[in-house]
Amino acid sequence: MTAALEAEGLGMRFGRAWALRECSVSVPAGSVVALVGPNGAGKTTLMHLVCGLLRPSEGRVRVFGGDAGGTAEALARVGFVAQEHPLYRGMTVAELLRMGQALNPGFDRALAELRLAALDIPLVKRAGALSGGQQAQVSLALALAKRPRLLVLDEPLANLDPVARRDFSRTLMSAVAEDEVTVLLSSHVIADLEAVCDRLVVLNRGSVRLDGAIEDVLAAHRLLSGPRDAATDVPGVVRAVHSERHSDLLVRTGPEETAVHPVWQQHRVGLEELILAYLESPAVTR
Amino acid sequence: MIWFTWRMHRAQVYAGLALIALVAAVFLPYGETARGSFASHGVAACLAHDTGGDHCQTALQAFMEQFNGIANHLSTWFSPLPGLIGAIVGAGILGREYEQGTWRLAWTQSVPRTRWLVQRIVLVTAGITAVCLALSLIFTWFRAPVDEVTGRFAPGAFDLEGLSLTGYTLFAFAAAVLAGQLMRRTVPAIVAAFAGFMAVRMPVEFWLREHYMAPAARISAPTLRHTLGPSALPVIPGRPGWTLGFHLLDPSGRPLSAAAEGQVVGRAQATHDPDAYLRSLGLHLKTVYQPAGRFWTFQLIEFAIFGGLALVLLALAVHRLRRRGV
Repeated sequence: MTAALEAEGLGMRFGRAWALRECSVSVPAGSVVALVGPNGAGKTTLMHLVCGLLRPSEGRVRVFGGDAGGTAEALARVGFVAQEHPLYRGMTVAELLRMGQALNPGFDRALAELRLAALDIPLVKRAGALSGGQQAQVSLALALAKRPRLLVLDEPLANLDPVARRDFSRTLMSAVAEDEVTVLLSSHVIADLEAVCDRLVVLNRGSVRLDGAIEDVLAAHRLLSGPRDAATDVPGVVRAVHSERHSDLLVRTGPEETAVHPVWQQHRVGLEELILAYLESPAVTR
Repeated sequence: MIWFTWRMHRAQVYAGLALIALVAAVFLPYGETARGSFASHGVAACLAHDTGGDHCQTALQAFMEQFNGIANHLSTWFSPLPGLIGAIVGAGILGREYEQGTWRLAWTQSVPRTRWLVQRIVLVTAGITAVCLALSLIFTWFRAPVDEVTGRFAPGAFDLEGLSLTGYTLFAFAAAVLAGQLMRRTVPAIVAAFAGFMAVRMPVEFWLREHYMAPAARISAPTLRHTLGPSALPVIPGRPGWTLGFHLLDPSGRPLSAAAEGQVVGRAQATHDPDAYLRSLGLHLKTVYQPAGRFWTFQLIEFAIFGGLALVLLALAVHRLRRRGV
């Protein structure tokens, strides 16, 4: 089966600085992927490469088997909601939908109107006069009306109040269920992601730290606590916190339950803790 | 793209139409008055037969005093206008997209960004051309009687009539498209494009234009009754060209040195009839000029320069966008 998204040795350089380097990610069709990382990790760069807004400096990125960007067909496959969900502020919502229809061959205007009506967003209002949450919804409706196979959302929940976040996530989830669209969404707020996403890509300083199904990833890590003397013997340590006698280790154990020396107490790890560990730790072999 | 471009620029289209209406409302009645005065002063007859006689010089003078002021003001007011119009329209195309972040919305629709830019440029260029040609037509009609007297090479005529106004505006437009791409801001791009526009436009008008073609020369009886400049009255019949200079020649046809010419002119001015004094020395007057018939050739050259520059700048903007995009 063709992957929805496949990046191989992807790199993007701005001037001398590499925003993204040797990035290889594979996203199976139908999954909802959380792209996590601190500011400046390269999330936006990766998303712009996937949407064809940037051409890679090296490597390649494919969307459903075709090169990302450049051609009308490649652009039609991907729906994108950019950071801060930009809209032409002077246009009314109806005009934005008309624009979508004018610039996209398979644009489903009726669907978009239906979704916006369900959210009580008036079509005659100018985009600039809408609330932040409504603007985000209009952006999402525009992207979904393209009937994309891959939906890319860059920090969709940032700057939204809790109610708007919940509404946006609901719209997204129902769209995923109805349209069978693959979703790549970025956030630095980890709590937002757990309910929505089934896969995880952790990005830091331009390279991929972790990539996998959230379930598998959680199953493959353990928190160990025990005596500090024994800490050096434990393989696969992602992050270690030592006190004078005692050590807390986050360990990559692999998918199988592995036998650890009985001096160590084992705990399952939470998603947030796991992600933070990967973001804090210096480059760890994957 | 047609609907999208229309939606993005419709306010500018309305402003362009309003400008045309305003200019027409002001200058069409004024042109009517100028035509009446042209007839009542008998200017046409003078230009056809003998412009040198005292009666005709007085008539020409009276007519020109009435209309030359406004005709020249026109060129003062309207010479920066193509630069401003072009810069404002052009800076919005990429500068505004970057400034408001909407490039990420625009170029993730199903129209590849190179096509998006090229189609938008083509449509806007067509609109600018239509508005500018309409303005040029109104100015040409208004100025026609004045042009009969001073010729179409006068700055107020050459810069507003024919193709030049269109060429200037397209050049400023192209400069602003590129400036918007480089600066990613609308207002700085307008300022930069306008400055760049003036930096090219002024040297072309005051230095380059007279060199488009080798000037013609005419040898005639010597006279001191000649003036240069836009309000110069013609001293010979026929539509005036663009006089670049006058030189006195000695009887063998060699030009006098500047010092010698100054001495001769000084002595001549002291006599009762300066022209007779010059004739008695056997001198001739050489007039260096661009003939009136070259107006369209010069217009085409001027348009080729500004239109060509515009094309280069736009091609550069498209190339930069295609290469990486942002």
